[in-house]
Amino acid sequence: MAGIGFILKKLTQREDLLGLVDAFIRASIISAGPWILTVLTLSTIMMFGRELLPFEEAFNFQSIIIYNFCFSLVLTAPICLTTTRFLADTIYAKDVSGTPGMLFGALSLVLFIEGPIACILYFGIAKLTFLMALLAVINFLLIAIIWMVAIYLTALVAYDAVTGAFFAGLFISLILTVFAALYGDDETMLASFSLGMAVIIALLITQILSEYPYPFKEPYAFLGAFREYWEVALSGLFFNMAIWVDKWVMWTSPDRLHLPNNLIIYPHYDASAFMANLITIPAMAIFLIFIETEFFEKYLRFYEEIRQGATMKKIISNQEEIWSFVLHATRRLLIAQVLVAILVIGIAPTVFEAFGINFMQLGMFRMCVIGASYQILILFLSILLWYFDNRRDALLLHIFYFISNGVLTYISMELGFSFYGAGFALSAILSCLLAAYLIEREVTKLPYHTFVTHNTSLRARHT
Amino acid sequence: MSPEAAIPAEKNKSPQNGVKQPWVRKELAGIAAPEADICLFLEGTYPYISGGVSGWTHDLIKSHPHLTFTLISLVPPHFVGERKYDLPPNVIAQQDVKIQSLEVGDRYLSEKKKKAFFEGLERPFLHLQSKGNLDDLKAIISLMKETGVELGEEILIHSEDAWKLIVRMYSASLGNASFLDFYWTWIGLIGGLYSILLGPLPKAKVYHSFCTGYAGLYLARAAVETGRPALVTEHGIYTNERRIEIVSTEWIKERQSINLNIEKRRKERGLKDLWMDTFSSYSRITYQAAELIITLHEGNQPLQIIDGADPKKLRIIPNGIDIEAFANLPRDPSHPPTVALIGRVVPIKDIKTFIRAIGYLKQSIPDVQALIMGPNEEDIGYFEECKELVKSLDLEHVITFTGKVNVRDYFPRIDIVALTSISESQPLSILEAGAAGIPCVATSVGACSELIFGRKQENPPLGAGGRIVPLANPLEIAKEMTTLLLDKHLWTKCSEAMRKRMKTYYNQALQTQAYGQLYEQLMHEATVWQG
Repeated sequence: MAGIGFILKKLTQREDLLGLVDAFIRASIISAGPWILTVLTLSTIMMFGRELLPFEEAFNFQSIIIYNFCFSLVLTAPICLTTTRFLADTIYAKDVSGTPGMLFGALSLVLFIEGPIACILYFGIAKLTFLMALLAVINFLLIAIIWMVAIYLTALVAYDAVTGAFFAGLFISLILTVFAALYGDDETMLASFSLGMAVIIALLITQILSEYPYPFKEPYAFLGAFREYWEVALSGLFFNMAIWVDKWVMWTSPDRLHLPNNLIIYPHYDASAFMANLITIPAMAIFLIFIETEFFEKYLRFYEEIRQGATMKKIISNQEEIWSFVLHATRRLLIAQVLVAILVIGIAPTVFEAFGINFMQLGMFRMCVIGASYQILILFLSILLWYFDNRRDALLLHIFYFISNGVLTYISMELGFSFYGAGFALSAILSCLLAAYLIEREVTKLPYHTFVTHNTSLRARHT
Repeated sequence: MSPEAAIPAEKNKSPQNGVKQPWVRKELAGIAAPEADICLFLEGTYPYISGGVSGWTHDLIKSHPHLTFTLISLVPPHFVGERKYDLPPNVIAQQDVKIQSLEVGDRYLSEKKKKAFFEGLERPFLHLQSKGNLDDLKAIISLMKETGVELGEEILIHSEDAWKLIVRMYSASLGNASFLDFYWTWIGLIGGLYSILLGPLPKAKVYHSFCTGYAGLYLARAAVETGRPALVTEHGIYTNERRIEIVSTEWIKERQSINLNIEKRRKERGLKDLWMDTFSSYSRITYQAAELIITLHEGNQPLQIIDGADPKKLRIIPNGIDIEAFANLPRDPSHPPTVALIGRVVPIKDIKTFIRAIGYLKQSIPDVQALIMGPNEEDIGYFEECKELVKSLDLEHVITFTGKVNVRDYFPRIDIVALTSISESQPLSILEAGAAGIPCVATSVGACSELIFGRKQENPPLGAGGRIVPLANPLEIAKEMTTLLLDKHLWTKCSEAMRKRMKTYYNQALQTQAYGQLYEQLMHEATVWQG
């Protein structure tokens, strides 16, 4: 007469109602930081390059840097997000002894996948001198490693170390590259830039090894995480492709530049997009502060009080607090971002004139400003989705953003020069609306999702 | 008797669905849904556990070789087990049903139907939490049928309407309790109910379950859906056993501190009450659906009545033994006065009281010998304590721990069998000793009083076969044993009464015959089409 004893026993094991994903989320937020720093550095370096080097050498350098950033980011993101998510789990499980081993496992995977691709790109497709091609491959891999290590380290909540390393490395890059531009050629420029990157890596890895002095063990344990977090991996891939897809499409426009080195860029559009991204820095800062202060506290309270036996009334009131915060914060961010965008769009002609930027870019730049403003909101809302562990909706959003950005950019390109950038802007607005809908669906039914749809214990009852 | 402890609950990566392919006797493979004479609902016992109710089940099936049986074995969600018995040839099919496991089921049900379904469920569910009855079960079954889709986890557990129902149930019943605890409690309860209502229902002429609870619920469902007669046999009282289990569970932390305000306490039912009341409802439903409610002894009947059993349906069929194996054992004419306790050396048997009683007994009968006959490795700590006690009372030359032995070898030189247990059902030791004509002294637990003094309606009265003593009272036990040992005339009278009573009422053949007659009678009842 076995009764319900087994049921009662099982019910005590309800630990994972809240799988803490905090470290992972922090990493995702902070990952925007290096991106911004990099855009800043790149813009500066490219400006110097254009000023100081002959036309062809400048474009040689510029195209390689753009390709390296864009493809290394897209290819590394899935590996990076998945390992970080796995790392967050091990932090939650209070066993970080696998940390250094896992990092090197992940790095070897990055090199294994991206090394051949970089070689094909620079030794096969591009027409470069052997030395330049080699330097380009090295630079590609250094940047890929940086994405990996930096985000890995931020997951371990070492913001200062990351920011410090980036400042130091980028500063070295900047100085050396400018000197190289003054006294050398494109090869020395690339080598100097890489040197700064190598400094960043050295600083970050030293930091990890000194904080986690464990022997390397099971460096490939994280590979299993791809099965569980495949949505995260794909999200990383699609979001980063979405960020770049409009540039790729524009590289097929009639106004593109097919360089002698056989690489294609469209400097006007690329530069407009880079510059537009800079205006999201204030919003990024506001968002970080929101998350770190108000949001995280409300978020934790919601889950903690459920665990501690809150009544439904209390659960709902905590949920309503989160919802009103999300509404409030999104509204404030949107207003701030729109104001900045309007200001920037308004003063753009003056700035362009002052810096001697080609007025051809003005229309594109304005569109990119609108697009970038909404893109940053998409990023924020998807981070919120990740906070609530709704990986499926985040993936859906990123796929939509990727496809819409690709398709709409193509259409706007076909419509002619005056529509350049409009596709990106429209896609970002539509994706932002989708993100808003998804987050509304999530947060307004948060108790349901918490107990039923995202509750792994519920499904694990039988297995 | 708690075989549930023995169920291995290893995790296995079984497919999501709860129903593995049924086992069907080879000769019958290919015949779609063969109809059995009897379908048995077994909860966590046969054929995966040995001894106890499981052994009883095996014997019952074997003793009716002309009837065919289908078995539904209810097992825990993660259960993987090996059969401890070879299924007798008259078992035509056996199937495991995992309690709480549901098929994925259809995903889509129109909003209108879904709303009607879940709103309709609310009333019977609320009833189940307090004083549920068969009508509630019927309502739930017909609501489930009316949806017209294949119900499973998707709609019943994962849908938003299912969630809203849970929230409504919570507000209506335990709005001040921890929602998390309520939620898991509810998922457990409702998952169990759904898995029973959606499990396979083999065709049979008679349905029979060996307890209330989930098996009883299955029985009630079978009765409602097929209109065939249902029968329940209870060895112990399910709700009683669950009550002990639930009260001692720690996971439900009753958060309200002990509330001294009676009025408030009445209002604030806890989650344990929810479990208890739901299982009481299941018992009530089982009793209402069953045509007859059978138990081993009278002692259980008041509890069944409290749980809602109609007194008119109550029957007693005691367990029987092979009388012949004990009736003709010769008496050993030259042995010292000897008393024995037959049972495992565990606290529930209260062996220490027996040892103390022997201490007193030795004062009146110095040459007395005492045997403690039963396995002693189950609770080594307790066994050590007992040996310690024997030593401190200076009884080392009086008391012998024999370990597990064949009692028939010892019966010829045993004068009294004692039983000091604090809980029993229908103890085999008294049946066997009685059949061998050995008077018994036992505590007033389970069926002991019936076995020693006869049932109320015993006709003609056979007289006392020994003595009943209070719990944990060594002096009283020693006094009664002294009387029996010293008064030869009394001893002979008791011996005869026991021998006769066992032969007349506790013969295995009688038990077989009783079930045979019941089955025969119910099998030929016309199907009653219900609602």
